[in-house]
Amino acid sequence: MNSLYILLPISVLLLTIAVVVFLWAIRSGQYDDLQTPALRMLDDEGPESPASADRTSADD
Amino acid sequence: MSALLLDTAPGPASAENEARTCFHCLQAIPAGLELSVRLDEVDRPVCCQGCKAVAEMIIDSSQADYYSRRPIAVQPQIPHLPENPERWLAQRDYPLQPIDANHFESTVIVDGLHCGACVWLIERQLEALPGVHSVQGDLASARFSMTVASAAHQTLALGQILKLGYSPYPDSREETMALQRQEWHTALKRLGVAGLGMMQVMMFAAGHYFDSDGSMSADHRRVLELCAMLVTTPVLLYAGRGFLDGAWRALSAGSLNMDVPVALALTLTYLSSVINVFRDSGPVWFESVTMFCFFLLFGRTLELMVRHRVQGSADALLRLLPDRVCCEQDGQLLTIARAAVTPGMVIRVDRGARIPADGALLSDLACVDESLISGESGLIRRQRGEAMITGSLNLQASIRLQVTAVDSDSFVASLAAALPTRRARQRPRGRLEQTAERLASLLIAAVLILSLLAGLVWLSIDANRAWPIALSILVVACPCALSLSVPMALAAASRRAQSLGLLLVRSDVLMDLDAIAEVQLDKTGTLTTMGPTIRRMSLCQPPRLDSARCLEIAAALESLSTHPLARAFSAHHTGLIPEHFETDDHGISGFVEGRRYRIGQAADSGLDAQVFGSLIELEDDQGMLARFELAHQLRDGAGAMIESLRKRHLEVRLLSGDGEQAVRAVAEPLGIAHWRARQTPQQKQAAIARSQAAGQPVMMVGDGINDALVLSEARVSVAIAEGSGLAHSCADVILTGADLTPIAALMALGDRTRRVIRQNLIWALAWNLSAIPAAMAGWISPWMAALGMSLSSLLVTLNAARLMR
Repeated sequence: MNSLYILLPISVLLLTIAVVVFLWAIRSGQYDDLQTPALRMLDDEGPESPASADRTSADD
Repeated sequence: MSALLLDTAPGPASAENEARTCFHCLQAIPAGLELSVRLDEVDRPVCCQGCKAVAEMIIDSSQADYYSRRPIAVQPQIPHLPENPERWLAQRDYPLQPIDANHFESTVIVDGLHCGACVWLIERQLEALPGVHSVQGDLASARFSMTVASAAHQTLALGQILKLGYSPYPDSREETMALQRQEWHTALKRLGVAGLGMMQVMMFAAGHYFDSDGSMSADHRRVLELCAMLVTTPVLLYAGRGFLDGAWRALSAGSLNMDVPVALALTLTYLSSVINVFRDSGPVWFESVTMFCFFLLFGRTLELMVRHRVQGSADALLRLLPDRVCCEQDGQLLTIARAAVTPGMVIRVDRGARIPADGALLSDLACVDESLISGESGLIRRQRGEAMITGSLNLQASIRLQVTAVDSDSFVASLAAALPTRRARQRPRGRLEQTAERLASLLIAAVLILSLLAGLVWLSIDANRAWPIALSILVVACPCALSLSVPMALAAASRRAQSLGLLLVRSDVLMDLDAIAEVQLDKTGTLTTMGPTIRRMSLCQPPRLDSARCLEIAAALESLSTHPLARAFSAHHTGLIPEHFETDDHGISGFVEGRRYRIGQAADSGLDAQVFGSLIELEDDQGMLARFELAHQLRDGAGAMIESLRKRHLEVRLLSGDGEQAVRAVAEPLGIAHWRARQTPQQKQAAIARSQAAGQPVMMVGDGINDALVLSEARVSVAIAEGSGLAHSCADVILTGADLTPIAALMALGDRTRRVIRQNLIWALAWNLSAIPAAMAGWISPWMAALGMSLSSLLVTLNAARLMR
């Protein structure tokens, strides 16, 4: 039963990691749009817009 | 024509002229002006100091690539360089959204972009600036979003855009969007923290549950309790902060709201658990605290989601407006961003485009479709000097108008601005909810006093039992179940409503439904579909063409028209394209497969039919071929809805802005005895106010912007998703489909919800009222109290969840 003294802190640590990852995911905008990403895979067009395509060629 | 040109401009001179276009803006250089910039060892002529300054800046920052990148065919504008860039920027309010201490986000609409090279240039220039982390431009919407280190860096970046000859304008939509995003992030973070914390604390608590014979060592128990406390503390202080703040605000304002009992229950349970941990005896209820927090937040997050989706559609009308506007300046036609339009400007609106700003008509005559704003379905003629409304559709030749008001000052916006007054007005609270709230806060006060008294009494009887008994009372009396009973039922009902095709903007509308005595309906777009359909078709006698051919030709001709009635034919269009077509005030004519046809309003259709706009004739050179009778079609489920409303003994009335005949044609088949035609929004609003003043609360079903005022007056308002965005923003309920039957389902859902809430309240009250005396008598130990309270809350939640099915 003494393993509790190690396991409990580990569980709290894991929880902290989970919370930090979750907060990071929210902050990076992964939960901003819950609808379009599900439809985007059906979209044949690539995500590249003309403007950004322009930029990549400029970087060459 | 070309000979004339040759006479006046012989070969060499025209070559000279070509050389005399500005290197930067490609416009002609005025005679006698000698200005140039140097690039690749060659002097390039420019047309003005502005172009010179911009070109030099581009070359100096070694981005002369811009000139080779941009397409030859573009017609760039002469750069707009304000004399005092700082003042120009200071006159406008650019929103800046904090991401963290060193990152701020800003979105601007940039005017003057003409090709991908402009976007490239601005992105390159801004990214080279200190304090600008990233820039992303979009040519199609002319929007640039950038991340900067501070407000000063934002001003620097905007100044740079100005120096390049483009004009940055604030994006008014951005502010509300960013605000919504922030609200959503906060809600989600709190929900996530509460959910993860709840699961973990449950795990710790499970340790206690298995210790039925009390054989767990005191050390192990203590470690479990400490870990639970460690996790619960941030959950309460972070995730539960909304409740604590809300309660504090209410208390310091001298009032009681739903947050007060919630916050008190949370803090009291938490504090007594913490005390027990440090006393090293007695039970702890950390799992109850986290669970309570999570369930409450879950309900609130659902509500927030719905509210945001609805607010998003509120600016749907503004999104319909063109981003670019054609305006006249000093005799030249320029294309500028809509944000740059100011009152006094003369703008041009092409045929088929939406009018981007309020203005006075400068052309002699215009035909517009204002159905989105006024609800009137036909086309409306405007004479020179008359007012044109933002958002109306220009149906015929391109028109000129002088702008009188833009965006936030426009007629449409002022209608929208009239609405928030109602939002601020205190909503009459539902009886049940009010009772629950009052009882909960009374209970809290009573419990505090009771537990104190009981503790004192027991102190004199048996000092050892005083503390556990006082705690038991606190816990059993916690009005968790009571305060959960209403919000949980409303949240579950909102979910259910969504699957029925209803969005509940404010979920407690369900509580108001049983008070409703009268239902007022709008006609166009509500009882009838937005577009007209062909009701009847009659051929000339004897027929010269069969009906299918007539329909085909009519559809081909009408495909060229933007008249609202032309939509009736769009379903019959076979892809046939007429040639040499001409339009006049009453119709359209053209050649189909070599023969000339004309389609238009019937000559003998009379005044009423003209208002109605319903009789259309197809003719060829020999006269009439076929006659079409057009009408707005009743929406699916209109009859069934009215039938079900009548069964509930509700009075159904029809209010419409349309002409008498059109309204009668809809009202009579549906059996609506009370109807009024030609009602202005103000008259409709007054009619509803009269009914409500006479003690008949009204439910209003409408769609267009003209209904927005009316919707906001009614006790309960329902809007149709196909209608304009503005109506949604002030509706309590939104129909997401094209069908009207969900309104009947809404009434039934309201009944079920109120029943469930009543059951919940009775159960919660019974529990609290019976458990408190038992606890005072010392029959209930704290662990029993905690279990009972959790079970009671669970029961209430599960009962509410029945509504989701």
